[in-house]
This record gives sequence, structure tokens and C-alpha cells, in this order.
Amino acid sequence: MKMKWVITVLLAVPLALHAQEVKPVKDGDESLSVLYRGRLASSFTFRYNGTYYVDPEGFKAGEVMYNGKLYSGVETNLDAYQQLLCVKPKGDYAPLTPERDQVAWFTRGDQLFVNLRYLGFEQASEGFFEVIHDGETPVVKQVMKYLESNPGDKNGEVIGYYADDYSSGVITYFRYAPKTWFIGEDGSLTRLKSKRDVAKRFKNRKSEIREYVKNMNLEDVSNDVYVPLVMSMLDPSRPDSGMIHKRMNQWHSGGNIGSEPTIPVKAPAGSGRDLPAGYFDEVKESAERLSDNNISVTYQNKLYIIGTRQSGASRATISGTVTDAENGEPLPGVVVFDDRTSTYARTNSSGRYSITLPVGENYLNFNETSKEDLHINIQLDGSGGLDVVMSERITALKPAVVSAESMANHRTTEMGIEKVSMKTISKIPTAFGEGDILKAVMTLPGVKSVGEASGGFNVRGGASDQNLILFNGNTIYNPTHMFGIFSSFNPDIVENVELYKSSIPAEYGGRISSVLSVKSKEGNPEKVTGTLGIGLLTSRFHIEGPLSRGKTTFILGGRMTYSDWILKRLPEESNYHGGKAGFGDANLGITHKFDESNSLRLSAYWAKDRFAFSEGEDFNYSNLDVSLAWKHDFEDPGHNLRVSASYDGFVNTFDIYQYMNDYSVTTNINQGNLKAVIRKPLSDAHVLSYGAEGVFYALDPGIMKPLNDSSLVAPRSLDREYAVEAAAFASDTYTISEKLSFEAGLRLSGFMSASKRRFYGIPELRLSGKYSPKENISLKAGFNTLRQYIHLISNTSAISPMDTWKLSDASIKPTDGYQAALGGYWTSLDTGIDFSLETYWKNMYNYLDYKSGAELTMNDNLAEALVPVKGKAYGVEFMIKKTTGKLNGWASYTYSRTFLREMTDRGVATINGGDWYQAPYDKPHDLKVALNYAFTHRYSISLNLDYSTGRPVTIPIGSYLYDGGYRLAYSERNAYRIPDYFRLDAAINIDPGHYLKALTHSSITIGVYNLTGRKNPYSVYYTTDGGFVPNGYMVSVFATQIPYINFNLIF
Amino acid sequence: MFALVAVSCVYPFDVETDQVPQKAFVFDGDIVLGGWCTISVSCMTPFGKSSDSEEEKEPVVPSRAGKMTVYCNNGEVYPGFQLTGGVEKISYQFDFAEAPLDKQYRLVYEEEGSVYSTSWMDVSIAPTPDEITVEYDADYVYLGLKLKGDDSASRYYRWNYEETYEYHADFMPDYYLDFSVDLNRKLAYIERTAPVDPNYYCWGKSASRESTLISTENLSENTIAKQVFRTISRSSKRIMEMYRIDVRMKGISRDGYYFHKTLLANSNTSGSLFAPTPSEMRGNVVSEQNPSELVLGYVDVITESVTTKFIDGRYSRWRSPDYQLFLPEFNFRPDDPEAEGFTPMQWYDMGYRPVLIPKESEGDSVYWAEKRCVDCTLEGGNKNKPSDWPTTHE
Repeated sequence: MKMKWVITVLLAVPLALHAQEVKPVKDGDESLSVLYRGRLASSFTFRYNGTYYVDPEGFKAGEVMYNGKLYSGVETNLDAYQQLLCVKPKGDYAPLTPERDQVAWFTRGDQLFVNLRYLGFEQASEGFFEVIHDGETPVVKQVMKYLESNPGDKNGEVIGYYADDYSSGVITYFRYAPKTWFIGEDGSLTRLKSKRDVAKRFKNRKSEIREYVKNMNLEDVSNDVYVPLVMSMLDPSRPDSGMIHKRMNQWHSGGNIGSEPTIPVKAPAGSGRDLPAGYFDEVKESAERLSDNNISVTYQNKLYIIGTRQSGASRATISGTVTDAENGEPLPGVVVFDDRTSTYARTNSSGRYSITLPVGENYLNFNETSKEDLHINIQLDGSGGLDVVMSERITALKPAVVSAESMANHRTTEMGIEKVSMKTISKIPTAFGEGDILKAVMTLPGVKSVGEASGGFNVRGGASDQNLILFNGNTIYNPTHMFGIFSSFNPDIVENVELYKSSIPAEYGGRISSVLSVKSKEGNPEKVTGTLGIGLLTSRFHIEGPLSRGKTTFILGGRMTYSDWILKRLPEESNYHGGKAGFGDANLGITHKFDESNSLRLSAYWAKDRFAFSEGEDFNYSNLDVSLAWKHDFEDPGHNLRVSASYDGFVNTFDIYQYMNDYSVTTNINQGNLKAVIRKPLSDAHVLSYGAEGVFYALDPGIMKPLNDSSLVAPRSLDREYAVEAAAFASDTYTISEKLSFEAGLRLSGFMSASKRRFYGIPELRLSGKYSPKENISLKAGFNTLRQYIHLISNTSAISPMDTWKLSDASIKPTDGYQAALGGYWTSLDTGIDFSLETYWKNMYNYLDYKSGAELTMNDNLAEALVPVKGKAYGVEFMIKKTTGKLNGWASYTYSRTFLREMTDRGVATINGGDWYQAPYDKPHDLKVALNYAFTHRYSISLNLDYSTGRPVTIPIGSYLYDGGYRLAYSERNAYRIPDYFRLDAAINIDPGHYLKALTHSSITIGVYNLTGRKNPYSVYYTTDGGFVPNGYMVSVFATQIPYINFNLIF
Repeated sequence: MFALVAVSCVYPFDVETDQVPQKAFVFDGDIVLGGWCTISVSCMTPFGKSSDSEEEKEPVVPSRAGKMTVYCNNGEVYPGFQLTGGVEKISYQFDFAEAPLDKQYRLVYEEEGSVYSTSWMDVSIAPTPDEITVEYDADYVYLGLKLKGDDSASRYYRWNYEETYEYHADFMPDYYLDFSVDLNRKLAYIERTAPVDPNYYCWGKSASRESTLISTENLSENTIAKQVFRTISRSSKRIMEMYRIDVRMKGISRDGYYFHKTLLANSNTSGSLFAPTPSEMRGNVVSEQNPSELVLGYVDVITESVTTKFIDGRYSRWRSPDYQLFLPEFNFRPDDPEAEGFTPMQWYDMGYRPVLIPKESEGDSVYWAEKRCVDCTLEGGNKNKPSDWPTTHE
């Protein structure tokens, strides 16, 4: 097994394109070239004069026998690294590599290279051999170069190294491999291992050879000199009548070689020796035309012709799939846009895209945050396909450029969408070094949490339960492990993360604040790869690969902790001695592609947490999620269907041990989900998405059981709640002009509570629009209405194992959310830096808060303990972002406020007397900076800064004597704040070297969390210590610097 | 977890408060039917700003001109008799000996034109505990409570306790200084003639500082199997001679139960990640003129049962202090002018008393002990022996 992505890095610059069939080439169509197609010749950049070509002399005129046709006047060269013929069209175009298997031979100046296997010499290796001598006993040699990092004193000549590795300390060389020689014998070829082997072929002429060598002073010369001279002496037959040429000449008559050619190729009708006149002069007419299946064509600066010109057609559609060069997996979320028309598209979860453009010349850009930008000239004659393979971004060491994604953001109506790549996430320092998705999300503007080590997060004034967290489409009810220290998502298996905080697509519903969509990889279709990470507290692994090559892939990952041993070693006087805390999770994904249009994906996720810090309590919670998704692409470009069925289970249990009163309380959610989404372009201006979704809930709000026979606790269960949430949705993207576009969506959601019969229904609006006066400036506005039917009932600041979920019913209304947002965006064309300013206003109704002193556990009249509140949230988010260059990252400042107000008048018991009060996560000032500076491709440093106003708390304002002791009188709810939060983290990242032949690779991250050691308060509390004088305390979770080292092994 | 253990910390914390009400009344006590009961009114002590000087922090107290009354829905009016004594806390005593149990009651407090009252409340009948259990281990004695309640009765219990205990001083003085001689010149003492020194045995009292709350709402039976509510060190003097605990059991309303439960949680918060957020807790006494005014305390209408348990000294592991280590030996030698040490009179003036310590090898020696070691009244107790106390040392 090799590390796929290392190869990718080395091949990164060209960003290969693979084109698929657009329209079959018509036999005899002389206007078409069958030669000038194929993979783009590699374009490695070398600091010195090294080259992967056979020699540094460049292209030379020659002939090519390709697919039964002989082409003359062609500039040819040999890629000795990949053993490919390279042909260079006239004009300012890059070389191409025609399919090797269809090249019989070619000449380069006076050199003749033959494809021995093509000519019927099955014993020969793949690639091209230079004919050194032809005759009765021909001799051929193969010049090969290969890549190697820090090779030491090995054979071969160091001829250069890959430029971007120069400063990384790992030098990757192109080196000559020992040449492979073959010599003819009885109509076949055998290996020629040394000079002596020549003499062995001519045993009766040994003395003659010896004398010739002596006279010619050939004793110490290389084979390159020795062999041709000696062979010309031994076998002076005419070259063109030799064994090799006899095989070659058969192609000139258009016939096959032998009865069973190694690679059967049918010569096209009308084959001729010469290309049509003026072929190379009329570049635009005859440039790369994409025709054959599975033929790869690439180059950023070449003009590619797609489709066949049809009279009357003014627009045509290009569609295709964008895949990752690293592992062959489809890349969702890639921005595709055309500079000339400012038309925009984005790949879906299958990596599919479709974009309709005016016929004629276009300039397509492909951009994904972690991938190299790709720019392609397109001559669009008709609808057709274009598959794209994108490689890992290595532009960190290059001058800043304007990112295609930055420009694309000005062309879409979407706003409030944040995308974070796993590469970025892995660079953000965390408390224990493991890349953490949720922690990365919290570095984005508008996203907050109540404190460190807290499970939930808050988006634009929304509560933690108002975020729809999806993992491969499954709903995750508790996204964290170990009280929020780790996120539930194994970073090794995650492909990408998207957070919708403003423009939420109509296909999503059920939560009123945001959608966090986390998607895992599909598995490497080429080979088995994986990672292994071992740490002080946790270990993790993942493995992925093909189950059936080209059809089925798998990915499997898992994590576990073993922190109990630390707890056992704590001093007995600590409250944690003998406690236990840990988690485990596992992921499985299997993807099967039936054909190019249909694929099926099975995803499964399991996670379990358990902890107990005292003998009297034990907590457990677990997630189990399974989904099956079918994807179908219709024939018309951009028209596709996604159907999914899923099950989500969440179980939360705590055990309490009291004398003869041992009991456990369990709450659980069982959720089944069916969803179908169809996307269909209606015209050039309209793209329609529509579908339906159904969610079935079976929720146990509380099951109390005695833990043993001696317990007097009576088994008791709160009524199981059943409900169905159904929705039909549709949205249309209407592009009026390049400058102006709108998106309108409608989601009709309905909810039927079966246990307490009640139906709720509402149309939800999703509106957005953009006006872009210039290509780098855009103004956007959006308005969303959303409804939520399931609620987290909690009286703690963070998500707690004591919390319970509750469905809406006759007593508890759904929560409604309304958000209006306005944004301005500017991209500096000089620096590529993005500036954005977004402001929003959000109203919430029927959000559930708890009455003071309410009992929320095993309360069969929970509605009585809760009060509906309305909320208002507003804020301004400013962000500056740089995604390219050595220094990249973002800085954001947010000013936001969130207030709540009880909707009912309960007299004296009304929360804060019925006035507005600050939400627990209302932190007005929020400054976040996440920066990464790459010194080299391997070495980089990361800094993360987080400042925010302290969160609101309810604190004592006085004490009084009551019932024999001092008691505390508390302020109105959330009337005070804890001190401000400030944290600075730093890390040094050492990425793997490019040891191409190494079986394993490793990366190391060394960092310090909370570099300044600030004692940030998590909470403050007062206690009277059993009725005595009250004292105040502050809890700081990470109260000092936390150094860490994270070591990952990749195989 | 590792983070919490390794790097989490708790620090003292203080914050300036600026939203403190001028005067917040606290009503402490219940309407306990069947006898006399006391309900007091006081005012919350605001934390205030750290910039406030002590002089500026004038204590807020209830008015002596206030009036507290309990009304019964049968028309009976029970006036509260203001007890003398106390400045910050004014108590009112009620006679509910004849109050009917099947009626509703409400409390009204009037002060300077403001009226504070509860709503009408039913009576919660108190059960009687079946047993006060005593268990012990090497270090502690555990007092628990068993109760089998009527299934139709309240399932919410609250109880407090009062302790009375007899203890003695560390040492029984056998000698007293003879003040008829010059104690600066000579040590002279007289032997104790009474069998027991008058300050050797004392009685102490204490009470619980917070209620114990139990609910049986989730149990199959209205039963408290055993709820340990008091733990006493076996080295404590409380159980060295005789100990009595009086448990005052109350059956309370559900609202009252959750009020007190939250009250305790609010006053003993842990600040942990999962600790419920403390919240403002108002009681059931409301200002009629300004319902939003902060008023604290929950007044329930209850009956009360008292269960008493005596424990003798069998569980005590009290040991007298090691005199060889801690008591200075009497070393006055008047015949030796070079001798160091204080004179007997000087020892006495410093608060020491002579104690005769028997020593097997050297015979009895006299040591100086702190006065509190021979005088039990200096350890919090007094000589007020309860009338029904079962032991005597005369």
C-alpha cells in the first residue's frame, strides 16, 4: 500500500482533467483529430534543469503511428517517467499524451521509439523502447525515470528535484532508472543484462567481438556506446528490413500485426498518412475535441471543444463529475463558474455538476477550498460532459491569487454559509491535538458556545438544540464526546463540513437556527489506505479502499478512550479517584456504483459515552445512526434524484445509587426518516429543486426502573410520544442577469402529534437574492422562516446527560424562527482577500425556557415546568478571509445580542417580571482569528485567538438566614456576566514528507492550547457550604497551558 | 475528564452587584398546626458593591411596627405575637393548638402600609417516623430515618432536627490552687472534695442548618426505607456521654418540596458542567401592592411530629488529650532561684489550671492544663440539664 495523496502532491500542478464522451466521432470525419487528445502532459516545475522527458533536448519533429494512422510533422517527445508519448500542437498549447496503448511507434528526430507490446512482443514491459539497432538481431532499450525522495547512493542519475519541496527538507528527484535492454532472438526479445550477453548471442564470433572492442577502445564505454557499435558490426543488415521494422511496416498497409495483437485496435476507416491540411494552424477549430469514452484530456491553457455545433442553439450544458485525485472520491461543494458569463454552479454530494453556458468560448473555473484552482478554456459547441480531477492545493507557497471560490461567492444568492475543509480543521489547535470539527466550526463568526468543554453551540442567537446536525444525512442529537471535549466525528473519515446559518435550503427543516452538514468520505476506489492515531487519552483508526474495483468502496473508522487508568491514579482525596470516563465510536460506509448514473450508499455510525465520578452516579449516552441513500443522474445534465432512508437512535441513561432506592432513568429518541430530492434545470435561467421528507418519531421522555431487587423504586414510564413530521419543498433559482439573481423556496411542513393529538402546519419561506454590480462586489439579502417540532429540555448551561427531549404536542407549541439577513461582500482583486459584512435580525417564538426551580426529569407534566418565550437576536458579522498564500486564514468580529422574554404572564413568577432578559449565550463582542502560516509545504504554524464577552449568569445578590442557615438570593435570570473569555493557541504542524516509496507516512502536530494560561471562567457559583457564610467561586476548565503532541500514521 | 482533573481549577470569585433591591423580606417558618409555632421575618443582606464602605452598608431590618396574622377560611383569625429580642429578625408566635386541620389558611404580614400575603393553603399532615436508626463504622455514627407513610398522605417530606448532648471536660480537676498562700512563692493546693467538679459535665444544643428533603413520589410505596440525615464523628464529644436527637417531621406540599429543594441546590451549587443553572427563587409570599417585589421564603401549612432518639456513649471513641505532649509540667521550684518557669500565680493568670495526672512509673504529677480542658462551659455547652435527661452524676 502506498500513500495515495503523496503521489497527488507530486502530480499536483497540472490538475488533470478527464473528459468524457460528448459525441461520438464520426468515422471519416477528417476535420477531427484522433491524435491530439489524451492526458495532459505532466508539467512539473523544477528548480534546476531536471526533466521527466527522455532527455533535455525538448521536442523534435517526427512521425507517430497512432490508432492505425500515421501522422507526420508532429513535435514529439517521450515522457520517461510515465512512459508516454507527448505531442505538441502548434501554437501556444501544452503537450498532450495520446493513449499509449494505441501508439505503435513514433520517431523523435532520428530516434525511433516503439511500443513493443503493441507490436506483438508480449514479453516486453509497458512503455516505449528506443530502437538502438534493427536487423536479424535487433536491440532496444528503455529509458525510464522515476521519482524518489532523498535517495542516497542509489543507482541512477539525479537530474532535478521537485521545486515545491525545496524548502521542505525532503527533496524528490527525478532519476534515471537502469536502462532496460532487449535483444532479438528467433523472432522474440530477451533481456540483455550486460555486454557479455551480446557475445553470448554470437558465440561463434567471440574472438571477432573481442578484437573489435579492443580496436575501437570500447572496453570501458557504456552500453549506450558499446551496443550500437558492436551490433552494427555483428548484424549489418539494413535497418528497415529488421525484425522491428517488419512489425512496424505492417501498419502502413492498415493491417494488424499478427493474428492476435496484444491490444486489438481497429484502424478507423479513411486512415491516411497525413493530417488534414491546416490542422495545426486552425487551432480553435481543431483544438482538443472531447470525444472518446474514458479518454483523459487536460490542460488549463488549452482550448477544449465540447459537443457538436448545432444550428440555432445559443446555449449548451456541460455536466460531469469532479473527483479527488487523491482517492478518486467525488468532491461535493466544488464551485464551477464561467468568467465570461458569470454563470455559477456547485457540485452536489455526488460530485456532479451541471452548468449551462452560451455556445462559444468560455472560461471555466473549478474551485474547492482545499484543492488547487483549475481554469479551463472551453469551446462549447454543444452539450457534453467534462469530468474533472482536482488535486490537493499546494498553492500555500505561491503568491496570493484571487480564489475562484471567492469570486464564485459573488455569483450565488447564498449567504451565511461557511465551509471548512478537513485540512483547515486539522490545523486549528485544540485542547488535545485531535482535529475537531465542532471546535473549528466555533471559530467562525456567528457561532458561539457557552464555554469550553460544552457540548452544544449557538448560531446567531439560537439555542443549542436549534441546530440540525447531520452526519451523512443522519440526525445527531449529541454531537460531542466527554462533555464536549471531543466532537462525535472522527476527523479521519470526514470529507467536508458545511454550516448554513442564514440561507438554509428548503430541503432542510426541523430546526430554526442552522444546519451543520458533515459528510464522510466514500472510500478510496483505487487502493486500501488508512490512518492510525495514538494518544494519551484516545486512539483512532480508519481504513478505506475498494471492495470491488471501480464499483464498490468502503470506509471504516473507529475511536476509543482509555482514560480510566488516569482516574485510578488520582489521589484518593480528589473527587475523581476511581471514576471512569470514556467513549467509543465507529463509522462504516459502503458505496456501490451500479453505473455512471446510479449509486447506493450505506452509512452507519455508532457512538457511546459513559462516565461516573462518584459511586452514586453513572451516566451513559449513545447514538446509532444508519442510512441508505440512492443517487440517480438523469440523462439531461444537472437533473438528478436523491432518495434516502435513515434511522437515528439516541439513548441517554443515568443511574442513581441510593440505599434501597437505586434506579435508572432513560430517555431515548427513535427517528425514521425518508427523503427524496430532485434537482432539475428548467431553462438557462431557472433551476428547480423539489422533494419531500417524512420523519417518524417515537420518543421516550423518561423510563425509570429500579436497578436491583432491593430497590423500592417503582418502575415508571412517561408516556411514549409518537409523531410524524412531513414536508414538501421546492425552490427555484432564477438568474435574471449576471448581476441579479434570486432564489425562492417554499417548505410546507406539517406535524402530527399522535400521543396528544394535535396538528401543526405552516409554510416556511426561504428567500434570497443578490445584486453584483461588479464581479468582485456583491450585495445579498435573505429571509427565512423555519419551524422546529422537537425541543431539548434543559436547565443547564451546556448539554447535559440529565437533559431530555420533548416533542411538540397539544401543550407545547412548535418553535418558530424568522431571520432576515443582509450582506455585502468584496474581494480584493489585488490581494485575493475576501471581506464580508453580514447583519441579521432574528425573531423566535415559543422557544422553551424553564420555570425557576422546575423539575425536568421524569416529569409527566413537563409542560407545566416550562414556559414559552420569545426571542430576538441581531448582530453584525465582519470577516476578513484569505485562503491562498503562505499566510491564510480568517479573522472575524461579531457584535450580536440575544434576548428572551416570557410570552405568558404568570404574575410574580414570570421570568424577570416579563421583561426581556439576556439569553445564556448572549455574548455581544466576539473576536476570532484563525491563521496558518506555511513556511514550506511541510512546515507551518497555526494560531487561534478567541475573545468574547463573558456569558450571562444568574448570581447571588444577597444572603439571608432561613431554615437554620444562610441561603442565597439570586438575581433576575442572566442579569450578570462572568468575566470575558480570552484564549490563544499555537501549534506547529509537520506534514508528511514525500517519500514516494514509503509504505507509511506520519504527521506531527505540536501545540499549546491556552498559550497565555489565562484562567477563563466556565462558570461562577456561590455556596453556603451547608448553611454557613456564602462564598463565591469560579470554575475554569482549562486553567493553564495545555501542551500536546499529536502523532498520526498514514498508510 | 483528564482536562477536568488535570487542569481545571476552582478559584475564589467575587462580583459587584448593582441590581440589589432596597429591602427584600424573608419569611422563615411554617404555619404548624396543633400547638405554638414561630414565624419570623427578616431582610436579605445584600452583597452590595465592593466600593461600598462598611459605614454605607446600613443593615436593612424589618419594622417593629409590623403585624403578622394568619387567617383561616372558617373566619378564624390568628394574630401573631411579636417576640421581644432580635433586631434583624423579628419573630411572631402563634397559637394553633385549636386550629382545625381540614381548613385552609393564609398568612398576611403588614408593615408600613405594605401588605404581604400567601394564597389560601391546605394543611399537609405530618407522618410519624417509624424509627431513627443508628449505624456506625470505625469513624462515624450514622443516624437514619425510616418511615412507612400512608399512601394517601403527602409524599413530600421535610424534616429538621435538634440535638441535645451531654459531655464532659477533658479532665476532672483533682486539685485546686490554695489562694490562701502566696502562690508566687509557693505552690499550694487543696483536694477536690465533691465527687464531681461542677464544670465537668455540660449540655450542649444545636440544630440542623438545613432541612432534609425526601420525596417518595417515584416509589411504589410511600416509604422512606432509610435515609441517613446525620453523621457524627465517633471522636466527637456529642456522643461521649448521652445524645438526644429530636426529629421534627413535616409533610409538605409538592410546591413547598420543590421550593426547598431548589433553595438548597441554589445555596450549595457545585458549578460543575452539568450543574443546573441557579435561578431566582421566590416563595409564596407576595407583595399585594407590588407583586414583582422580591420576597423570599415559603410558608407552608403543616402539622409536625417529633421523634426522639437517645444514644448513650457506647459508640464514643473520644480520648482525652495526650497530656505528656501538650500540657506543660508544673516545674516551679521556689528553692532554686535559677530555675526557669512561671510561678503558680502566673500560670493561673494565663488561664491554666493544675491537673493531677497519674503516672505509673513516676507517681502522680501535676500539669498545667488550659482552663477549657477542665471547664466544659468553655466548649459551647452550659449547665442547663434538660428536665427529662436520663442520666445523673450527682
